[in-house]
Amino acid sequence: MSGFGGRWRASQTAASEFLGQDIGPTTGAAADHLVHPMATSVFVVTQDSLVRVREGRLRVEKNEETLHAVALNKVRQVVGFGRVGFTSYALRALGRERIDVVLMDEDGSDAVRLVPVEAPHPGLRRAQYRAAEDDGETLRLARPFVLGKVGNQATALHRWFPADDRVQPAVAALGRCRETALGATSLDVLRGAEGAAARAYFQAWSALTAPEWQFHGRQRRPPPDPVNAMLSLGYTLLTNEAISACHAVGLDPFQGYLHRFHHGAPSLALDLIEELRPAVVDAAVHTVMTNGAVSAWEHELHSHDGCRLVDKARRAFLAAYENRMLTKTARPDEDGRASYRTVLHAQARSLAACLLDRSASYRPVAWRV
Amino acid sequence: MIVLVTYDIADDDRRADVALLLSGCGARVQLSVFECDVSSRPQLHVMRKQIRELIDPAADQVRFYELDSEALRRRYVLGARVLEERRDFTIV
Repeated sequence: MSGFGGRWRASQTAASEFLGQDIGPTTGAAADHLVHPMATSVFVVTQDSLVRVREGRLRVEKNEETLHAVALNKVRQVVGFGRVGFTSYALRALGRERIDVVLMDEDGSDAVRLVPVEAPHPGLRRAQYRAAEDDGETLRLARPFVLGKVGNQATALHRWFPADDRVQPAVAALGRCRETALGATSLDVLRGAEGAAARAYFQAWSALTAPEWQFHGRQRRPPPDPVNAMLSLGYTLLTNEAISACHAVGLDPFQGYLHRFHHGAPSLALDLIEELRPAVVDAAVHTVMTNGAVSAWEHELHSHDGCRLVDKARRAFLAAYENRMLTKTARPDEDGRASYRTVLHAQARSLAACLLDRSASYRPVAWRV
Repeated sequence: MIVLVTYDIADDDRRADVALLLSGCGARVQLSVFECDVSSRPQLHVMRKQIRELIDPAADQVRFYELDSEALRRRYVLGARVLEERRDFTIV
């Protein structure tokens, strides 16, 4: 069970006192760091639990005992991991309230989601498919996703390994990839730049990671080490939120631009999360690796499924992921700051605006060093 | 508008019912203090009516303070203690 309250302590420095009164972190700049939303995410990790809805309250029960209860209008998302049951009444109630329901197995793979009946935006969808048939348009739309991601990967390396010379070659390589992406005149060159950047980034990150993590670069199916297991889980959660953002705006999450159309892959959702991968998921992974919330041995190795996190590590990572999603960042579309989660939805709206108006441009989220 | 709802309720069950009702309206900033987000006056009347039906008027008291944006802007919080109920997310 996590929240933000337990992590802060009243500072003893002069800056936290005013006229002899202790100010503490709930006022002033420190209080601005996280958004405290009315509607929150509920992650159900307890196996053999049951999610039910009664009298406007969502309850998570196991063996007749209520583990958690919350008013339904304070829930925006329910994610169930592994053997988590939902009564049919609960599923319909959640769908009616447009609360996201996502089910995945304990590793975060095999994700399925409940899709309520929604009103699509036919004009927007037509614009999506028309743009996909035009190579020039596709390139114009795909480019900012790569620029955003590569820029944020460089920020990650700067933040995590400040003043470390060993990171310089990778940062320089990311700079070159960014230049290539800026000037790319074909999708193949753009995708090549993205791939080269990812290789340089993960190579540098893994080289500077303590050996007990056994992290040697990004590897997916199956994840061979706990770092890759957490990355996969985080990217899956983020992708599902992007699918939800697409639906909210009326976009087809399966028609992307940077990501080719593959049967079954939510290409546009994958496009939208590119710029957020380093700032949200990689950042959460790095946080739990360095603050001790997850230890390098808190996982099990299975022959076919690869590395699987133990319960405590999964809970710690989910908390770190939510903390990143709630962290405020500068909005590319307008002044002011909002949580990464809000910005993801705003970016989906921004993309929709670009599809309907060719003179509009999509600005990716820039994670500041 | 934000309506500050604070209560003193003598009976545990009645208190739990009122807390359950108010937890759907806004943030529980202290154990018996809720900052409720009310979108219209009729909605405020409905909330008051629902609470009136839950309490014992002889033994309990509930107070409603309407806060405008200036009052909210001048809100000052001392201390970092946060209720369990105000979690930003839940992992169960």
